[in-house]
Amino acid sequence: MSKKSVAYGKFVRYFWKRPKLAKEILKLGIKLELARRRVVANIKNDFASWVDSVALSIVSSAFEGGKIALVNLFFPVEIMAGFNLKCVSAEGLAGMLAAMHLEDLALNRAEAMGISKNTCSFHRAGLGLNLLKMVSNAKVVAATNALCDGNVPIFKTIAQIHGLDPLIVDVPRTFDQSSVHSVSQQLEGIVHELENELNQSFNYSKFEEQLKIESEIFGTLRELYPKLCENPVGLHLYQHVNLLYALHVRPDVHMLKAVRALRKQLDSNAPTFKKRFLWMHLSPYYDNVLNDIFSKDSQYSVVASELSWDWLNWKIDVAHPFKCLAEKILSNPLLGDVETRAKFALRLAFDFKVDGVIHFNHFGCKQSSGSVEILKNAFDEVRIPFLSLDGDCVDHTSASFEQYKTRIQAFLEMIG
Amino acid sequence: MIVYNCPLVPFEFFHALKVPFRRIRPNSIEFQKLHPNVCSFCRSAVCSVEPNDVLVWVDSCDSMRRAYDFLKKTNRSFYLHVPVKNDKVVLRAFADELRKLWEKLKETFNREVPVSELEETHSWFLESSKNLEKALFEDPYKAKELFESLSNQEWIGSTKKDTLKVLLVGSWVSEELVKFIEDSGACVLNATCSGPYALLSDIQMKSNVFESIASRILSKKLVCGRFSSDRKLSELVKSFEPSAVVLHTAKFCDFYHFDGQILEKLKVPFVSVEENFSSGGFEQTKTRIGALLESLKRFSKPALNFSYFIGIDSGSTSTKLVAIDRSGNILLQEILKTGADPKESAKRLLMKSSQELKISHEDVFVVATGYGRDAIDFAQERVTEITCHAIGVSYLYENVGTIIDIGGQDSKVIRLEDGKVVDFVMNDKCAAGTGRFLEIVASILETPIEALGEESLKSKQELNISSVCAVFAESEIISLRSKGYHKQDIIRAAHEAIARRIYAMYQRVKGRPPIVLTGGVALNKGLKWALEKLMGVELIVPKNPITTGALGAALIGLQQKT
Repeated sequence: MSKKSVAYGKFVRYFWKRPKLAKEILKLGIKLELARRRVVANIKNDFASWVDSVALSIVSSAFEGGKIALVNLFFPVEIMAGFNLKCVSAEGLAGMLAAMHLEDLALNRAEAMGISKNTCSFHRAGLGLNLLKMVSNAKVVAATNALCDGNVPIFKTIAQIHGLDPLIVDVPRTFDQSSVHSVSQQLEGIVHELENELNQSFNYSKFEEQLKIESEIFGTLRELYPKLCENPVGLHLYQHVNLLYALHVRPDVHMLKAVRALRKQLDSNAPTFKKRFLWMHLSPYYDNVLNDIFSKDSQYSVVASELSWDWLNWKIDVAHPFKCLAEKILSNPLLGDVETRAKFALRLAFDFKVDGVIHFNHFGCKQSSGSVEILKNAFDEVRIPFLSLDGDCVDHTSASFEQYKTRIQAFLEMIG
Repeated sequence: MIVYNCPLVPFEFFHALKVPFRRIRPNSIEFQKLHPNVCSFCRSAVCSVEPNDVLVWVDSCDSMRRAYDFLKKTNRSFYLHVPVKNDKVVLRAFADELRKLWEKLKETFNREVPVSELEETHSWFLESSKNLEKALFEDPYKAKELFESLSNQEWIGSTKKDTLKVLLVGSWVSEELVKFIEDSGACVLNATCSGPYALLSDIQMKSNVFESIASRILSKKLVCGRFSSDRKLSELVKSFEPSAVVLHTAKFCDFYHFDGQILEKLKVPFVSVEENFSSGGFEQTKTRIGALLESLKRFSKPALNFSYFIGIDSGSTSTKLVAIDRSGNILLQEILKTGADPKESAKRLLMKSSQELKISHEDVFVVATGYGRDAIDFAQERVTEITCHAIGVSYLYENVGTIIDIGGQDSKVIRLEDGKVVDFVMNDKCAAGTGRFLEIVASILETPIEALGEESLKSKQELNISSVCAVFAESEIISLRSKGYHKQDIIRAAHEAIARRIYAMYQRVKGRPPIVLTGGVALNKGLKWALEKLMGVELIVPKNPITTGALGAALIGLQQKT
């Protein structure tokens, strides 16, 4: 999402007509950048650096050659730990392309297959990258319809490309005993299915180990939540996206280091911001004016991102792992009706004492943007300024930076 | 009155409770509270809900979920989650949901209906849907009657039989679309969710009625695109043997584009159309389907009663006329601004050409094409511009692989094999990639539109206009201009932006050289240069690239049956 990424993307594009070479160059660039981020994280040992490193490690796995599971953002990745599979999210891959301004190549490939330009660009780019055979090491393709039902046909098609059967978890829209039972049984069923397909026994101890790591990660974040609300950690806008990817797709030992570092950071001097904002849904991952306005050093700071805290209602119970994972999916406040989501967003807004809320309506995302008016009304009632901002998180050609700038600046001027 | 949103509902409940019911349907207004990102069918159809309606609402897609957020505030409503897969675990959970819904509906409508009556209704439903399936291929009138009695939904499909058969798949289609296809000389089997196929399932009755109904809903013969199981289109194509398939989707519906892959493998002629229910009108849809149907017809015998053949291409910006004689010699080519009245412009051109050629109207066979073709009521034949361009260009050049036609308001890429259209794509309802966009560029940069090509070839610096949306690109151009960049460089960047858009369309139809560039924009040397640079091949520009559609129309007249 930096100018360096765009420049590297231009270099990769130069070789695009030789796919194998382009892939090798892409792989090399990611490898070097990951090494750099790990060194920085080890030296600085701060929350943001570790998060940046984990986020990149997710997409890096798609090019390293080891076995991976291609999943969507809300698939319970913990299961894959029991099969020693690293998870890569299709959304993350789309974001990586966007950061290098290479997304058009994947989008065009998906469009050539007949996928409409009105379909979510995360889905189109994720699919396009697979159609371009840039991902060759997927052993499992799995998704839920939890927040987005467009996942199902997309992941079904991605699975076909890899000659696999897609693993789909159907998620009811209400959190009750019957739903928990259904989802946990489906998850157990997936484990049995994978044991047969991969001809590999499920490693329960690794699965439990993963849950224990997460227990500490989320436990620490929960414990630090009151402090964070008072003195939020300074992050660039794009780092909030890195954080939500890391928490959803790779809550591993490096994320553990991130939250441990956070604990220490919070004890030292916290940055002060002129104005605080809550960000709802995702934000564009390519280099754009929003990252400048909400940079780490700006007086205007995004102090919380909705999708980085969507696990807040979830408590890990290692003794009942499948039930616990079912509860993780079903307790997501974005799963059900918009009132539940509004209630959760209001809680974040009050806890983090924000001055305003920005909801990014990613083009083609029905579930998030659909009833944004109700969210706006909820914030209007409590007199918290709310901006509904239209754009595209992946396709930088479908956005107008000037319009972003004008709308955000007017919003900031309105807040004062 | 119960109002339902999708055929995935348990119809048996409504019948057994003896409560009147109907389905939502799109109309001319749209629900403004839903964000424009939401499915256009949903935005339009939810407006048909009346304040006193009791809603049984299936979460058939994210758009319907979001619509429910609003509707439940105004209406007594029941929400039903229909799983996206079909196995024992979800089937049991779904059956349990159905049982709960049954109890709630009984209570709401104060009906004491024993389960045995529901079982009988379910049995009747299964039997009737089997009869419906049989009737679809043998007796469409009976099929209509059965469909309407089962779903309380108006029949949208053909009741006539024809040798030219069109299968409709995808999301909700309207009577208007069916009528258009029927008027083009074909009969229709509607296998979208507004048609009878959405009611057919392949199950045996189970002992537990709720599991049985759950199984019926989850085991559709042609599952909805939201499901994780495969859509068995090949079986449907095998049994119906359509001449062509129309893959119809609503704008912002994510489920059906994937059918294109299956249809390609089945090697059945098909066209994909995306309809915006919110905006009304479907001219592009008609052009696309019309072109598909024309490719199935034969234009073989000359119209022997006529001496002259005139093709009129009524475009959004200009009207073009080409006159040929019985030997196919081009006698005249004329161009006139279309203006506000396409019929009048075409008439004036025809009169002018008749005077010039000194021919009487009785001697002339007229074929109309272009957006305004339907308005030209004095034409003996109307054909889409896709077919006309293909015929016109193939007359001028042999073995053409692809035509790129960039007009004032739209652009098209047409792939040909042996002079016949095998695939084509048109730009969506956006000015990007069209002459209109260049008009905007010319206006901002105060440069005559004819000079854009020459100016851009003088460019010395590479700039980038990334947006594909004309409105966004306009703001980028203004921004570049205010930063002091040379206008030659900005024009070149605009040409390159259009070229990228056109190249994506070229890739979509799997285009191949030789490529012929037509339309008014083909005269722009700067755009031609940008396209050639991006595509790595030289483009052929006819001597008169604006009239190839009209030429094709005239040639169709020459080949037309008497």
